[in-house]
Amino acid sequence: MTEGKSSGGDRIQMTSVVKCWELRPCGRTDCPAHGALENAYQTLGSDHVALETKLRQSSMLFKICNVMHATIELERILKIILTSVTSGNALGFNRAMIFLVDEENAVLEGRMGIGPSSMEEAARIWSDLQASGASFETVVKMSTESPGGPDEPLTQTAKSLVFPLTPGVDVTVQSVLEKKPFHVKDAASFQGPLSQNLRKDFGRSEFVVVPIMAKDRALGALIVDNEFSRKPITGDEVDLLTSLAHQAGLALENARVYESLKLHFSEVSTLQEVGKGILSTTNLADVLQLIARISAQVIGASGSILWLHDEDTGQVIPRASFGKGTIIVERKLKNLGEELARWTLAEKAPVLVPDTSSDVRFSDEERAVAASLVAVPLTALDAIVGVITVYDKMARSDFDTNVFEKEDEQFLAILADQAAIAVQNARLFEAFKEAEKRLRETQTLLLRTEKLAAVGEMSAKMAHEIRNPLTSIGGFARRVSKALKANDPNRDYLEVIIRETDRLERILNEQLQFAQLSRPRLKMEDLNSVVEQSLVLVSEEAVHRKAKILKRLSLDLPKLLLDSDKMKQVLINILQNALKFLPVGGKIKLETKRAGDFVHVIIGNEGERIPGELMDRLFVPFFTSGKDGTGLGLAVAYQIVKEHGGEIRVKSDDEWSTVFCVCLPVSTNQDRRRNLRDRRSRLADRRRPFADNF
Amino acid sequence: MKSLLVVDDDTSCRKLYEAEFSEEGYSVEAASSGREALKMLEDTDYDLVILDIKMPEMDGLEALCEIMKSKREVPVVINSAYPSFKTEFTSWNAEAYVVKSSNLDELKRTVRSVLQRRSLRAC
Repeated sequence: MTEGKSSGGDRIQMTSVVKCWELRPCGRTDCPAHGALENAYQTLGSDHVALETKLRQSSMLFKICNVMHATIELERILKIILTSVTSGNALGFNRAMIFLVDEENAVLEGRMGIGPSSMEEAARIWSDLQASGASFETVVKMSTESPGGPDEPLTQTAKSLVFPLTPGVDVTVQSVLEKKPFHVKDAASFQGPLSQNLRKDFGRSEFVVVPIMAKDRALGALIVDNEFSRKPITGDEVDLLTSLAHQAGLALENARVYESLKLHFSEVSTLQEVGKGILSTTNLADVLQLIARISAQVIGASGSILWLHDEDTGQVIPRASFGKGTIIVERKLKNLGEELARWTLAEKAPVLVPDTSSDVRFSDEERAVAASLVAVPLTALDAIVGVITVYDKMARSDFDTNVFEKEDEQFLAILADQAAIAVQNARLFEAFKEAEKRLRETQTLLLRTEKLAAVGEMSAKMAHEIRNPLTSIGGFARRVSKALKANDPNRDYLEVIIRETDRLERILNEQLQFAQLSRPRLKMEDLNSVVEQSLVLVSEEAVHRKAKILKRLSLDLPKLLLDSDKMKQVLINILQNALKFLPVGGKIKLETKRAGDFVHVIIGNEGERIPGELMDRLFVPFFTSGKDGTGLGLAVAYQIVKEHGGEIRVKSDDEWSTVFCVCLPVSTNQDRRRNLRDRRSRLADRRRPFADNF
Repeated sequence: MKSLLVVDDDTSCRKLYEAEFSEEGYSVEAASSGREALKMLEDTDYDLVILDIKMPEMDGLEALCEIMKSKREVPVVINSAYPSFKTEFTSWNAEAYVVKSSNLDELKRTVRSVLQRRSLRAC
């Protein structure tokens, strides 16, 4: 049989086994074959048991690998490893802890542990698991889905253990450095390195440490013991643990590669999104804010600032900030902000500071705010338009670091290229919008000027050609009307002539007012008094409409530089407009008040609302609401107020259908002096009699 | 009875003013141009001149200039179809400026007030 086993393949060996099982010892002690057959039977039986054990272990390792490789989350993989090592259905050790290498800091740090904290707890867990009859897969599922991992007492212990990756520190470090397992049968007599911390909680008796390998790289170490069962650890179990640690290493490496790929994919997707986002946004402020936010988010920084460079003044100005960047701008931390942007401009290349604590350019206050930073210039068409500065990296995954690296700088540089184009686009668009706005204003002005000129010319003719006949028609009608008896039926007809003549004269007056847009003659005047006089002039019409005038004039208004006649005209025109839209018995509010460097006259009326789209056109000459009027009253008012350095605003609110606000600047002493000079120069002109104005 | 000279190239207006001011108790004469007015002023001392601006031959301002040269004492009330000149009239040495209107109340008030002021000054 021995021969068959050593010289034959598995099939032959198995065939022999089957045949041997068919033979039975005869039971006779004197039988020469009995002893040999019984010996052969025992040998074959123990080989079979060993083979069966191996098969079971292989099958279990296969199951563990399947479960382990099916996930790419680090925490989950660690839980699966620990569950596999401690589950009675698998390796069945009492306790286990995992350590992972932190290459950046050159330390081996405990990450997770699993196992009961007392004999009683161990006994309870074993009996529970036996009673439940749960399969290995079920146990893994329960373990990985339970949220208690980080709270495990052994996890707490593991996390408190951090060893430098130098020889002689601890057996776990030694296992990683030498890439080999350590089977310590008696911790007390162990001659190798064993830290006090590990000895206190774990290495009290027999334990095994195996390295977690990925190809030829040690990613960490796995330590196990049978603290409660005191079952000796066999060489086979150490081999099995070593195999499992290799598989665990591969699973961890896969997860790292996956994370890295995911990160790169996310970066590429982000760049694509950024490109789409910032190139489709045309508002400069929005573009800048978007770039600031994305710059920080895509490389996992806790803040960013976007600076624009003003080529004329050489200044860098923070135009958008995000997260910690906002704090830096608010606190005016110069070397983290403006100076950093300037260094980048001077270098015309990215500036990477992995650790501000070892850089003399930063103060303690600045170091406390940001530990690492990177800045890249925004370059478009060979011109630097600005700088992006980002601060304090936060690790985006278990495999990412919390220090800016060259890769982050490169990624930010790609983003900066897109951002620079977006900034240029937005600037061009804003310039285009500004040009369009100016063009519109010019067109409006031209229209206004053309209309003004046309009105002026027309009015001059009308004044003479129409006003004279109107004067005599209306005048004679009045005369005749007065001469008629009160009950004469012709009196009504004459009244029609008189009324219509008055209306035509009013229209003519408005036209002539518009044509008469001479420079105002400014004097220091009391605005409230001008308001009162204007009110008197519309009082007849107000009485006719049964209007309720709610007057509230501020008593502490300063005197203003005004042409009182022209300003009266403004207020009369607005009041007449208000009366025109007022329902009979409606309310009109008339207020004056100081508002910073301006004084406001507010005239609001109840009644019909002016549609929003028509609001802007109210001041355009000849624009009429369809009500009786020439469309010049408000245009005249607008022009006069503009000549006073003020403006007229119009809006609707809940209470008032239309509210006009005449905003007039409060005169400074300088204005007064300038006005005095102007008046002197005008007086000098007037001394030349009858200038050729007509 | 106070005497008025109405200077206006519009016949209808002249007729209206003559009728209205006569009814008010004034002695009214009329001229159709600045030149004609100057001639009449040479012959007669009027208490007040109502002067239009835009007229053929010699306009109102030219006539006013001449009146000021020769008969500085006669008050002149400008009565024009152009409201735009109202702000300028004080530099022309005219007493008042009334925009033409079919309602003559303002013109009548102004004439009355100017004559009253003159009477007071003479006293």
